[in-house]
Parts: sequence; structure tokens; C-alpha cells
Amino acid sequence: MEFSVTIPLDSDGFVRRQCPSCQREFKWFHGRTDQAPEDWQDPDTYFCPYCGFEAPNDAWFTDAQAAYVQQSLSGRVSELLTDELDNVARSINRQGGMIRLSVSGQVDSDPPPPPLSEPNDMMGIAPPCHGFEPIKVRDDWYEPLHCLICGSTFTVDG
Amino acid sequence: MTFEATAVRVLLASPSDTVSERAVARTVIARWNATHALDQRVVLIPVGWETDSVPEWGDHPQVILNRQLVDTSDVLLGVFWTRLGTSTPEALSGTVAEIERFANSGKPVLLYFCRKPADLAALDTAQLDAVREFEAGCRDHSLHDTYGDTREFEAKLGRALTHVVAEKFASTTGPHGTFPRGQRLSSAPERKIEARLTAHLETYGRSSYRLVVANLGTIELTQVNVELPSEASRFTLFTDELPIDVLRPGERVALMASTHMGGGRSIFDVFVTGITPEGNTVRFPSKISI
Repeated sequence: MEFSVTIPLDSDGFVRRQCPSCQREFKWFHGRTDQAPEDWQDPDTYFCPYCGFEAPNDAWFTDAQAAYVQQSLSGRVSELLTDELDNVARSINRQGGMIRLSVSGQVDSDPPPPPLSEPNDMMGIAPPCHGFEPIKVRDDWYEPLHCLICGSTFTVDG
Repeated sequence: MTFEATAVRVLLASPSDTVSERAVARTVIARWNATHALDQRVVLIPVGWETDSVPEWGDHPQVILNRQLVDTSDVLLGVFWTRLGTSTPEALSGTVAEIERFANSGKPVLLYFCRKPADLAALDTAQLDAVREFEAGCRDHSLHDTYGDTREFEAKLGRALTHVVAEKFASTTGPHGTFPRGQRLSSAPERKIEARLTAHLETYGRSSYRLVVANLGTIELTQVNVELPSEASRFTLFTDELPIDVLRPGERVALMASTHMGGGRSIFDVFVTGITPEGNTVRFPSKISI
């Protein structure tokens, strides 16, 4: 069973992420840039640009995105449960006999969440080692950064 | 290739019931070095009595260990589980003595208490009580952490090492000028021009599905179609809408589908095909599980 949830990109094509360790937010480019090697394969883990923490590529949802996904799925699962209860009742009633079952009401669920929006904020950076995997980091960050792909430390002028 | 680095000695201080943690700590340190040593210009060296102490005559063993290991280390990793350790003339245990000596000299202490289950038959309750009492006493003057299994310990220790290096040893990692320089982007990156079609299954009720076909590439594709393998005999796709005349980048369409009982595989690949503006046919597999 699979559900899909849409998380928006900013107008430069970046998606907001959050480090599971230091909790700071940054963005990575969604998809591939035109500089990416033809045979480039997305890695299984990424490194936080701020603290260098390494985590699997599905561990970087922001708190807002995680809440949005949870709320969206809760509604879909409730719909599914209501549907399933109806099917069970129909199945029992079709068999005849003494028992007749009726289902009324709905499984409680939260209303669908308002869609997420993504402002075009933060400064875009191309690391020296993997320039084809650009990131966006906080405008007020002056410390060295880590490459998303290999974790190498680098700095940015200004 | 050689490089100059600051060597930071990490003392492993723990009683005898944490042998596996000591091994894990060495692995985490090795992994940290592999990832960060070159660019941080810091190399972490694990230090433990089992590998770094040498026989010496003339003093209490703990005093000798203090001189050989504790006073020459820069970071202490303390781990307790069910035992506090053997008492010494000056402290509740050798490990506690090392922690107190270290902390009193102002050096960083990373302190963890294990919460994984223990074998009750082998448990020394007096030792366990001593650990709990020591942990309670630590609350007033330290920030310590707990873990429930090896995986959690690995993650927390890796994070703590990164933090303590950044906090305590960053100034010796060399001026920022020694790091390679990245570039600020003056405009949005150009997206790679590529065709990419995917398909995945979404559920609509008990046996009703939608096969969602999406154009995740950057070019418009025409005559988009779906090919089902013969082993997908339990899966029916309603193909009235196929082929899709045009599917633009970012667009997705949902095709009705259903499953039924019988033979056939429940996991298979469907192939999504399309034609590029240059007239080339592209074909992408997508794994489907029903």
C-alpha cells in the first residue's frame, strides 16, 4: 500500500530539509543539475552542511513536513478504514442469515492539512568537491560547511 | 599523502560489563576519523587500559592508570550499565575516579548510561544500586545521556564526537583559509535535461487501485504508455486512456487498476515508455508491489 504526499520546492528547485542531529534547516536541490555526471547515483546517506552528521537519505524531513505527512496520511488511512468497514458489512449482509450489519458514521480523522509553502530564502552554495549537488544554507552562517555528499569541510567567501 | 593534524586522545572509561561498548566506541571513532580527520585536521585516538597501559611498580593501580592514561587524554568517554566498578582508595570505583579527575581538570567528559535489558540471574544488585545512585548524583553537575541499544549508542556517540571536536578543538584545526572554497550561487542551478518516467500504485479502497504515472524529468514526453509483464496476471490495468498524448514535466496521471485472486506474482516491474521531442523512445522500469 502506497500513499504519495507532495512537498513543495522553492522557485530555484530546492527542497527544505532538517538535520536530525543539530535540527538546523537547509535545502538541497531536488533532482539533478546539468553538471551532474551521466552515471551519477544518488547516495544512501547525506551529511548535514552545518554539523557534518551523516544520516540515511530519508531522515531529513523538517518538523513541519513530518507533521504534514502524518496529518495527510491519517486522513487517507481513515478513509481506507471507513471503506473497509463498509466492505465487511456488505459482505456479511450478502451472505444472508440472522445477522445484518450496518455501518454509520465515519472513522475520526483530522481535516486535510493546508498545503505547505516554500519561500525562496537562504543562500545557494556549490561545494568545491561536489559542485553539482548545491545546497542552500542560512544567510547568517559564517562557519565552515560540509558537503552534502561526502561530508568534506569547506568555506565560502563573504 | 600526509597531512598535519591535532591528535585527540579519547579515553574509554567503563566497568567490566561494558566490553561491547568499548568495541563499539573504537568502531565509531575509526568511522569518525575516516569521514572527518582529513578535512577537520583532527585525528581521534582511542585510549583504553587494555591497549595503552603498561606494567609499573610502586603505586596503587588506579594512581598508575591516572598517570599513564587519564592525565594524557583529552576527552573521556564514560559508560555505565549494571556495574559501577571496583572501589579505589579515593573513589567509589576506578571509572568514577577517572571521571572525577578528568572533570576536575576541565576536560570534556561524555557520559552515558545504558538502558538495555540485563540478565537478572547474573545481576549484582548492590552494583546496580551504586550505578543508579551515581547517576542521580551526576544530574546536578553534568549533562549525561542514555541509550537503549548499540545502534542508538553509535548514533549518539558519533554526534557527540563531532560536537566536542567542533567545540573544543576547532581552533586547532587550522584557519578557515586552509579549507577548500565553495562558491555562492548567483542564480538557480540549471536542471539536467533528462527524461524520467515513473509509476507507482496508490490504494483506493479494498481492491481498487490507481497506477500513477508521473513525468519526473525535465522534458515533455509524448505517447506515454505502460507495459505490464506476463507475470503480473493478478493485476489488471484499465488501458482506455493509454497512450497518454502528452505528459509534461511535473505532470502525473492516475490510471484505474484492480487486483484479483489467482496465480501470478505480487511484485513485478512495469515499464513506462514515452517519446522524446527528438523522436527517441525512452523506457523506465518501476517496481510494483500489490
